[in-house]
Amino acid sequence: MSQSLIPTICPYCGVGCAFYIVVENGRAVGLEYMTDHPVNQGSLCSKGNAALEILDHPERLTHPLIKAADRFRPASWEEALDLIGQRLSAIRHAVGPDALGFLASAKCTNEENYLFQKLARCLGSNHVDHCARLCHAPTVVALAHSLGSAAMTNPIPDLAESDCILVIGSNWAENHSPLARWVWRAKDRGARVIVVDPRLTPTAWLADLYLPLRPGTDVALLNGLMHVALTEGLVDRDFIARRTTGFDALARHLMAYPPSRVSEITGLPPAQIVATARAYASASAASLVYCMGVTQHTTGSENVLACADLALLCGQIGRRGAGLMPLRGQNNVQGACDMGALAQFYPGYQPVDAPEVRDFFAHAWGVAADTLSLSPGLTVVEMIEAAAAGRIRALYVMGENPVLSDPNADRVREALSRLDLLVVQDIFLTETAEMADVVLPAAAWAEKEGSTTTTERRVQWSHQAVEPPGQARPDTWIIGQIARRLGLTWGEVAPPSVLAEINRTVPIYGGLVPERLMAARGGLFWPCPTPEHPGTPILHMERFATADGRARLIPVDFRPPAEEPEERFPLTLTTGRIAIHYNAGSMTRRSPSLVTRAPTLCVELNPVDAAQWGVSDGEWVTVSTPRGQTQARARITDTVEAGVVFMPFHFPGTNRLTTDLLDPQAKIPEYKVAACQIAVARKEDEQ
Amino acid sequence: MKEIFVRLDRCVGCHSCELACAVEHSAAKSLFAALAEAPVPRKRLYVEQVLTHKLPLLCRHCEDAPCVRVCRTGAMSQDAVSRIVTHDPERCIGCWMCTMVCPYGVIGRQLERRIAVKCDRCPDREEPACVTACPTRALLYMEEEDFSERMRRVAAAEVVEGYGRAQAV
Amino acid sequence: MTRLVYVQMERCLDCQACEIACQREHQGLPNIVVVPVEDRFAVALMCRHCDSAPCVAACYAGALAATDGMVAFDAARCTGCGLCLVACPFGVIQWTPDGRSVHKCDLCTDRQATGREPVCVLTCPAEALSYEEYTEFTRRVQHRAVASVLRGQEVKRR
Repeated sequence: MSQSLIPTICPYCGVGCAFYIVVENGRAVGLEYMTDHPVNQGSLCSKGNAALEILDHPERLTHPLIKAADRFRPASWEEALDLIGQRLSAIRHAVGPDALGFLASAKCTNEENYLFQKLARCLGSNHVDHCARLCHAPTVVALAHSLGSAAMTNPIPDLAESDCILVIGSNWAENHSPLARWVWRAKDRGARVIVVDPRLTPTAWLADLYLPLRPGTDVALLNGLMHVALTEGLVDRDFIARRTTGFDALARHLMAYPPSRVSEITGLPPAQIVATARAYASASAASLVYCMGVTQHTTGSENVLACADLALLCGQIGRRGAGLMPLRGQNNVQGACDMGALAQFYPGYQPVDAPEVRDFFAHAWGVAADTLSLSPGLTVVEMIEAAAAGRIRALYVMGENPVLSDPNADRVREALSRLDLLVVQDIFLTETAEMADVVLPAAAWAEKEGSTTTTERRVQWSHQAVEPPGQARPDTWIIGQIARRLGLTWGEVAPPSVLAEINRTVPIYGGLVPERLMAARGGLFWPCPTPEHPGTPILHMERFATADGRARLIPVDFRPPAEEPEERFPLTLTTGRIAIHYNAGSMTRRSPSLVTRAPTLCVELNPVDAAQWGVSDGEWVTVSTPRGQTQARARITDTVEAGVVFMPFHFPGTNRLTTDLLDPQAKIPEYKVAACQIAVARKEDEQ
Repeated sequence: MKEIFVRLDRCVGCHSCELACAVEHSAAKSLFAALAEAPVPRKRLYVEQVLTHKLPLLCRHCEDAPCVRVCRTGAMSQDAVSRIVTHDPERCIGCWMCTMVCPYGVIGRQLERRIAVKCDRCPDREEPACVTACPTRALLYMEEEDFSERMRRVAAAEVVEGYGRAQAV
Repeated sequence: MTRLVYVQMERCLDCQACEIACQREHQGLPNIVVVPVEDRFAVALMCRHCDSAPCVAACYAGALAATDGMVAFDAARCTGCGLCLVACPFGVIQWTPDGRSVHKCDLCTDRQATGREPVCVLTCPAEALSYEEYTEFTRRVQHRAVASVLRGQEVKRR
């Protein structure tokens, strides 16, 4: 009975914690902490501790399924793959490549996402996107515009070097828990932590200053902070002069945002706005941490621009402890973006509408240049709309669950039901997989190898620890098989060979060669252009990644959220995550130790609202918006302000309520604000 | 009520206060005899150094003291008038909740006797031993009003000096 | 000297990682419990391994014993009378699901044999939990207190 310890990277969030899987006789029998990892230092959150519960789970998909007469029947790989190959080519030939849609996955490795988008593009479709569209698309769009590089600027442990940590719309205490140790180290040194959030989250528990702003008023607040920094002479004139453009226009623009006006918009006292601006601007090194509270708005791109403006104006970027830190949600959402699983970019953020880029990839992939489309593809929500309109006829989904994760879920279901072909490749029979024509069983993270990229741009190799259950196969193998059936000759698709191809086609990954990456404990930071390059932990130290090396200061105006409370829907619904569950819950709702701690959907509401609508704690209520309704258990708490209700989105139901109105640039839906109504559920409605 | 005040700029880190504290809390109350006692008498205040700065830390006998709040057996109690927090070894079960919640880390543990040890303000003495022992008078035992009056005198002197400098400019 | 699990109360963020790690390590039974208070705080409670433990005094079967600076539990001798549950001031001795015996923190004795720390300590993202001598714990608190006072002085001087 010999035990071995296999190092692995946690499959949940973007922090990229490492741990060991204890393997005995080919089975994962335990978990051991990796205390020398540079980010988590051994620690894991609740979900990481339960990660192994997924591997031997009885509900795992173990063989391909084909739907016939509304029922699934088991099928062989040959049959399932042949069917997919035939139907995809038939639709491609009959309707054209633009009828094919592809949803990649932030849960899959870089190699898998690279192959997946390569498949889509070699078939002539740029309709390949993934859930980054639903979390950090505004970061990708806005930071590329202002800084030239759409990623977190500093490593997580750098937080310990900050003298001020400004957190806007991020509940990292629950969602990226290992940050806590680095923030506490900063606090031990006397750093000030300021948390801006409509909810008093556990992140706000450790704040020195907590700002409960009205949902959707971030731009006003950020402009107000800049106004104070500017008028009090706290901006970094030298940095602005040397490293930015556009200061004069921004400065003029900011005059319209004095604390008095910002206070009216945000509902925050002017003194809090002034205190925050002073603490951030005058710190010798300050970090600005933001997350979905900033991005998931119809003004998401503007929110991100305002964050970047603030950091630039105060010179709080490009140094140790001073950075802009968008926390990415999934274990490989950064990597999936880097690998071009985005409608408008080839791998390495190279635009699809540039002919020279098209020619480069056509050559690299050995296809005729005119096979590759020059028009940017449809994004996640647009693909669903196109499916509803009959323009997308086939959708190949790898490890995503749009029925739960996309907004306005009832419409998503309807759209998917109109497809001629829905292929879902996943580890469980998710709500989306249930609607599929063909379901392909995939290997979970520990059952395959490959690289993932953390929120900090840290690329880490994850080793295979155990074999997949039944006939489940790694995604690279499945994609390779489908490609072969569509007449593409790719040769070897094992992860190390795919990574070698990535080294050649994605300059920022140029030096992350397989042998080097496999040996690097704690991974390597991109950009890493050559095998000798040490990697780049801190971005923008000397110059920004723009053409002239300078960052752009871009003025943005406050616009109210798309949907505001009105007579029929008088409350504001905001959504988010809780410590125990993860995203659409496909994994956490199946983990016994997690789901027993949070078994049902709940809705948090203020005692004032509870009294007004006659709701008592623990009671089932119906929450409704113009799009739909759902039942949830009431949780009465003063951590949300009166007039605001909060629901986690880990359960079916929440996203039947959210709006699919999009940010015009980044195409992200406004998950964080919807007008809603609550009522005590009638007995027969109770779940 | 009299309190023990610390003048932050005066501590030179000689540890005389610690020694005097341990002796005062020995059975014999003399240095040489105390050395031979078992268990070895324990000090209840701690001179801590950060970079080059030194500072004696001792129980502040907090208003609404956290250690008293968390004590599940009533071993830790606070005098309503003097605010002195005292510890009753008979009732202590040695759970160390008080140690964990003290913001200054000044509740110690005497393993041999399985009890918590902390400052009791030297009930047998006119002036606490640490104050008497301090050669630089960094520790002062006086009424709050007297201490703040002393601080006001220092502050006023600084104002005059600063004002004078401003006039000169 | 003996090491114990100490908790810096203000650091706990109610993520419940320690509970899940503990139950994975102890056949599904968590010996540490995180108790949220007014949605503003959370307190991680586990056996304090009291020096003069009330549970040991209450146990007439000799199943609970103070040894080597910890309160050890021997399930084989437990009669399931429940007196220890009543005696424990922190409610951290719990019934097993069948109600026939109890379970409590064992400081991960099995792991310590191979030099590994208790899982709750290793997993805590916020470093709220530590496994150390009490002097190490208090020294850290003292150091922080002094640093904080000195920072106040610096601000005054600036």
